Amino acid sequence: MSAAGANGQQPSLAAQIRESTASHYVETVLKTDEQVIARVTDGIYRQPASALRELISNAYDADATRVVIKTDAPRFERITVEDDGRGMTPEVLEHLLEHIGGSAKRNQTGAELGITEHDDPTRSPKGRRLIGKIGIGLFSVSQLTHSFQIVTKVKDDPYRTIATVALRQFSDFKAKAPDGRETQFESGKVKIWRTKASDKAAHGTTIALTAIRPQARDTLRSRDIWSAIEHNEQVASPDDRQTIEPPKFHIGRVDTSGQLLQRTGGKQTNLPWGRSDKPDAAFKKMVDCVWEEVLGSNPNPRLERLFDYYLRMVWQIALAVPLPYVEGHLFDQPTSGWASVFELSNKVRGSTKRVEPKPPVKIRQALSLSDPKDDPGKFEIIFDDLKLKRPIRFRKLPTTDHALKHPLVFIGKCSEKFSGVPPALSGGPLSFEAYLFWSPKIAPTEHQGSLIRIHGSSGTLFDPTFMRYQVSEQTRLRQTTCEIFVSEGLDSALNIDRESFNNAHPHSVFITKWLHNALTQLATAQKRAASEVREASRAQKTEERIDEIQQIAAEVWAEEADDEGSVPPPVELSETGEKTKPNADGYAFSRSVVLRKKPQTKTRGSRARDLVLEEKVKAIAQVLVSYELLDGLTKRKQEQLLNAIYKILDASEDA
Amino acid sequence: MSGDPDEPSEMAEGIVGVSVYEAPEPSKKDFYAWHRPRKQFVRDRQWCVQVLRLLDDCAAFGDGDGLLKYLGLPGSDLLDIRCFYEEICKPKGLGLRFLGFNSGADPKSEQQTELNISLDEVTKLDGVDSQSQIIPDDIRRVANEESIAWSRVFKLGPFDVINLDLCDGFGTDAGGKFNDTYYNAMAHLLALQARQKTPWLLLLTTRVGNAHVDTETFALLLKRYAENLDGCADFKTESKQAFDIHRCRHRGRNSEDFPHGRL
Repeated sequence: MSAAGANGQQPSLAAQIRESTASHYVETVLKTDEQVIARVTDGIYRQPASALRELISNAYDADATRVVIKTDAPRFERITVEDDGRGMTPEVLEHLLEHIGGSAKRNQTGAELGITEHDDPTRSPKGRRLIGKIGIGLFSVSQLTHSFQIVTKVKDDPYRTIATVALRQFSDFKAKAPDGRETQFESGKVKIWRTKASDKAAHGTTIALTAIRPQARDTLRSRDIWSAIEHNEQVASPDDRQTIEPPKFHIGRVDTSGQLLQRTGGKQTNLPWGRSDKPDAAFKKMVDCVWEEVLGSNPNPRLERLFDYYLRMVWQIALAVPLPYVEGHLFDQPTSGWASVFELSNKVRGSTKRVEPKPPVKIRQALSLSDPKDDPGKFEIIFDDLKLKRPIRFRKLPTTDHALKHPLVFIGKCSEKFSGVPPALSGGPLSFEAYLFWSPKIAPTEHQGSLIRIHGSSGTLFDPTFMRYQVSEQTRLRQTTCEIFVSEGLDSALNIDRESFNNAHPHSVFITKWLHNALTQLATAQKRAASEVREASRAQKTEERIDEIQQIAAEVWAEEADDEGSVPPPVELSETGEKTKPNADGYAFSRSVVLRKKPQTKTRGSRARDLVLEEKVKAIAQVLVSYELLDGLTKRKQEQLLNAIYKILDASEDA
Repeated sequence: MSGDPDEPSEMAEGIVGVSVYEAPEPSKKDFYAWHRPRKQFVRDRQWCVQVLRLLDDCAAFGDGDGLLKYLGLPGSDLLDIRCFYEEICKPKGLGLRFLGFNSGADPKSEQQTELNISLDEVTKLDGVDSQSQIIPDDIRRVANEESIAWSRVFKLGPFDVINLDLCDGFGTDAGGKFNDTYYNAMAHLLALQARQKTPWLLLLTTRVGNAHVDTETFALLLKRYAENLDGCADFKTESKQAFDIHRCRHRGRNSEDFPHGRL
């Protein structure tokens, strides 16, 4: 490095570059510009749901066991998010406000501030793997509101700390200090005070959004669809009206005064749950209503058409955060009785292995699966009327005309160390477990795709392209849903909005390859399973037809013999034309003579058909015997007659 | 082409929801009527005593889920709700679900910071139901079935206790004249309460006096009262016991016959 400047300070990088030569090169590290952070703080999310998801993630990282979100839906002028987490000390609050973007999570400062585990900055003090990261989680609300209020308290503190924040709109113009100098990038103004608390033991943080942006409010109110409907309603002539269907389920719409509800189809609201349903039952009904659509008149229900924005938002949040499943984790389902379970191979061009069905054994035990790897303990979210769970069901799903009537479950687990590549380049080790779930029908259609969770959390939701899978498998992909549970790595491949991946990151590349390989295995196994089912069903049908033919011959015999206990003599087609089993009544003919025809390519279908034909000839022989029409001929003539009949049957079948 | 460049254009209207770039200040701690000692006396000796009597008298109340369901008009400090919690729910081991009407829940209200702090405290109390809510509407909005206020009441009701502690007079407006009067709101509440299978309590605090009661409405009440006294012996006995009223001083049936609003 060049020598320090005359005043003892390091010369500027530019000055160092001017002095540099090949033998005296400049060495430095890349730095970020705080403008980037100011920009990020201003809003990087596309949807109001993202902001709420981030607040929930913060509560999770603060070891909350319960988060209560209250909105004044459908008015959306007031939203609060209350948690019973650790709360923030004045020191933590100071760090939060003065180091936006420089999260104390995942570094030593976290432990010093008591917001991460003492010797593991990637975990909360109670051992949860952190899902928030960038320190802008709280400021993600700028998407939703111009200002907000924090009420926070830590256990045993006799005071509550209150902060009100007004967010500044990011602008190309820098704020000017009173002396005219440009100040650092300012993201907002804050007022903070403490107030005495009588409930010393209480702890947690409440965020109240106090000035919801008109545009966010319109989104929450589903203004786009309701405006179109209102506009349509005002068209005088019914002939000129367009067909705009309101969402089937909605929380209602407010009039321009914000005080009154407007009716749609005579109803103020149309919710999948009832007024007296408890939050968990209400949420279950919300999930079930989507599947009920499949059984009803809508084979491919889309949340986008079925729900208004609010209900979709709740659904997406329920999918995104670390919660239990509405009917249990797939790994906790048994290995038999409802689906066929396969183990995916991690080898390129590998193939699946069927997991032996053992009734009481769960998939988790059979394949030693661990997701969720670190039990996060109790964590529940009440969102207005609903207690959120992951809205994914695996059992008792509707079937279609597809030959396969039950789901196929493909399980994979993988741990990649990227041996031989420095972690600075590979991003370190990567571990995950995953399932691919094939069923004749996947609902809602938004669940057709792959979803990646990192420590239980996902901002990306289902990717319908399965990470840009190029193989043309449209039907099978629409019947597949997949979740990948990452327990180590990939976090750094998340883009800053946590809603997309950096596709160039080695972990993204690896998981993409793994998923595509798994999809190939799924396709092969699914095709095989379908063909086995079809073959079994064909064999079943052949058997039924043979029974029917034999029945006719038996009835004719019994009638002619006038003896119900008597059965027709067995007819055998043998290679030699002689009986292979001694039987006094039986007839035997030469197979090669009776069944002589032009050689044909044998397929499964024609094999089944030949079987039936053979039985027909044998039955006809029995009928001829019943009427005593066969015994008068020589054996050679008998065989020629049967061959002629055989050829006629064969020919007529071909026509 | 365009108008005055200093005037906001129609297109720009409503994009920014606030006009001031300033963080909200702490709410002023004003002294209100409900902070007076006599109000606390009313809370303890009238309201809580009555609710406790209701609970003691009924083997079962509400829908048996162990929640006391309360509709009220608390101040931003939520004193009423804290009082019910401390005096009734906590000792009786009951949960509490409340629906409160308070204009402080309006984001534009200066009381909002105070209300948020109070809500943070109250909702952290053990047994306070997560469905509990404060809405900014005027309780009289309940008179309108299309209002958000009514939809909330309908969703959370019926209630075990309805406490309408009015700052103004209940009967100032004439019933039926305007939609959003206390009378019409009350009629709606009573219709909802008819679904309640077990006894419930209505606490009504109002200013009284001629200036606070619509004369015609009052006359109508007196007329009904007089008819009941005349037509129902049981009513007469109860009226005598409770109010020491057993006959009409005036036998008239018109409002002019009750110039001072007395029986």
